[in-house]
Amino acid sequence: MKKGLIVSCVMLIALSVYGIIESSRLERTMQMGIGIEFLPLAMSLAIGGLSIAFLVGILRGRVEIKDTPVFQPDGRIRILVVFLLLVGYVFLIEVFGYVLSTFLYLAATIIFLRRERIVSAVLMSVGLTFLLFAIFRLWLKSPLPTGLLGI
Amino acid sequence: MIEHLLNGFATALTFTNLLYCFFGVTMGTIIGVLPGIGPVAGTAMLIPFTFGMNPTTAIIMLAGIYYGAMYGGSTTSILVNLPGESSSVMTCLDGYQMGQHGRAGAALGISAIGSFIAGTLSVLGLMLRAPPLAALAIRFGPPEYFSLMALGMTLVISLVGDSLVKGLIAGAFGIFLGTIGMDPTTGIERFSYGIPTLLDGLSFVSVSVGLFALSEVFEMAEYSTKAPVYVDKISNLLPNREDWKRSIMPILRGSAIGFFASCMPGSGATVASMLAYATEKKISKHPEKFGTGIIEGVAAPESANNAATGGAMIPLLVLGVPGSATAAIMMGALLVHGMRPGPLLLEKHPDFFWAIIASMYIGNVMLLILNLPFVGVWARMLKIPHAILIPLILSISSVGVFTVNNNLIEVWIMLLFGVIGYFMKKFGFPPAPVILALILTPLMENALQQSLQMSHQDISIFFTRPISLALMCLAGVSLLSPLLRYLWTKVRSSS
Repeated sequence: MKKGLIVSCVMLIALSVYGIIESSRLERTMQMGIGIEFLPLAMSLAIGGLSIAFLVGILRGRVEIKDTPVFQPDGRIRILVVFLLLVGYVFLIEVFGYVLSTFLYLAATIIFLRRERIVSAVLMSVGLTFLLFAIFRLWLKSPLPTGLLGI
Repeated sequence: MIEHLLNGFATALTFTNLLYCFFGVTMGTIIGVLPGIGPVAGTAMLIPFTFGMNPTTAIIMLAGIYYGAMYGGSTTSILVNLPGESSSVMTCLDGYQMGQHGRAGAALGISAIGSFIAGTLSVLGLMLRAPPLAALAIRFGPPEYFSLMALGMTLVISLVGDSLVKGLIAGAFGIFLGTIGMDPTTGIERFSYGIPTLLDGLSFVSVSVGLFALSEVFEMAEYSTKAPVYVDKISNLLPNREDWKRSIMPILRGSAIGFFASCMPGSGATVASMLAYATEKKISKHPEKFGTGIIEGVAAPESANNAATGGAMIPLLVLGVPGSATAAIMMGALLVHGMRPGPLLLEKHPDFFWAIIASMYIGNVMLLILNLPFVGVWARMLKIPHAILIPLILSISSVGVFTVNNNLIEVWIMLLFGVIGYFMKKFGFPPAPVILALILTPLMENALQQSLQMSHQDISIFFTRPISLALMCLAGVSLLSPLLRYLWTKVRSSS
């Protein structure tokens, strides 16, 4: 947990540096009292200052840190695969359209998480895909991505 | 007031509004029952469903999800010792023990009845307190508004989460995100790099679905994929005379605590239920029995968390300052629908305000019916494997965010904030200040600019007007409260 917190602080300091550089590049205007760079610059400085103070606190042992691992030992792979499947789904939805990509995504994720009953997972994915299609397209009349197949 | 309320009922009782109220409370109950998905995530996830609706119907549905989730949260606490959402944590202590002693039915029954009484009383409180508060707040100018929003943010930052520094970082991060897009006064772009999606700022739907719904599902994927085991035979739902006698006062006290505690930004349903439980234990003649399965330990926190929903509507609707993450998401939905919450809401849109009040009365009756005879149906929802829930929720979230503007970039933004939200949870950074700041920043910046223009760039305007000064002092006290608490404990321990 301690390492994770240190990494978070470093990332926040990097965000603060980015914010300071980008805010100071903004066009300076004083038409309405404060310039448009005031708030982002002030917040970047605040993020940086607080993160440095927090990092110092961690390194000096003044911050109470739970002695637990950041990830569950067997959960790390599961969450990574679930996330990558979701990234794949968002990529595929533009190419294959809503129906096919949703079916593929649901089937792949259910099979991965259940690790058995492939036939029932496929059948369930078909049912859920059409249920979601009915909700979004037929009930809410929302346009869905169409892709190569036109559906 | 009676005339307005009757008009509100006339609007709320139309077929469409009744249907969406029912849909909202049903979805809320399901969200409350399913562990891992809380009211914040559920409300955020279902916002895209409201875009084709008129604002009244949309908020009737979203409010239904909010208070419906409070009803549903108790089911998992009592049956499997797993709180459906954070405000049901206290219910686990005695509710689960009652279930272990064969009294799950009585615990579920008193929880539903207590929730109904508390929910109805809190709507009554909202109805009575909102108009006079709006009449007072209507006199606020830009400096008072700026100070009020600053107070709302500092309260949420100081009360949510376990560390003030982490809360402050989250708040500053949210304000920074809120500055992305075109500046409303000058029209100059900030951090949008020519990307058209970012010109209007970060979509609050993408950010809130990512921060709350996706991060919760990622956590669900990490921890377990197995459905919990529970007692499926639930009988004797109606409390007996002895149960009534022991529960009625805890229900009334819990309702009052829940309502008044949640009127203050930052202390939502979770704090309210903890306060109610602690109060009952303190005034009880047998405090040692709390935690062993006594009905007072279920009645008080469940009443408090339901009363908190009505109380939380006061700062949101009357002052335009959301007091919790769910209220912030509802405020975002209101703004998307072209409604600006605040004191003028009651004056400009009384039909909207009173229709929401009337729908909350109706929704509470619907929930009582849904939660007493059909409790077994909700309990069976616990059998849905996480292996199905996880991809289903992720798919609904992705497609829902896409349908807002038919824009895939917003889905990528949602994914990014899903990862950020997951790591924020892991390292104890509260996500509520981020979403609150994202929504309030454009309004705050506008109020700040108007105030400085009024005072010819003199910042003392915030400290020379009495209401603004009082609000600024309270904001300062709320930020310093952890330090004051630390010093107080040190003084007490040394003496």
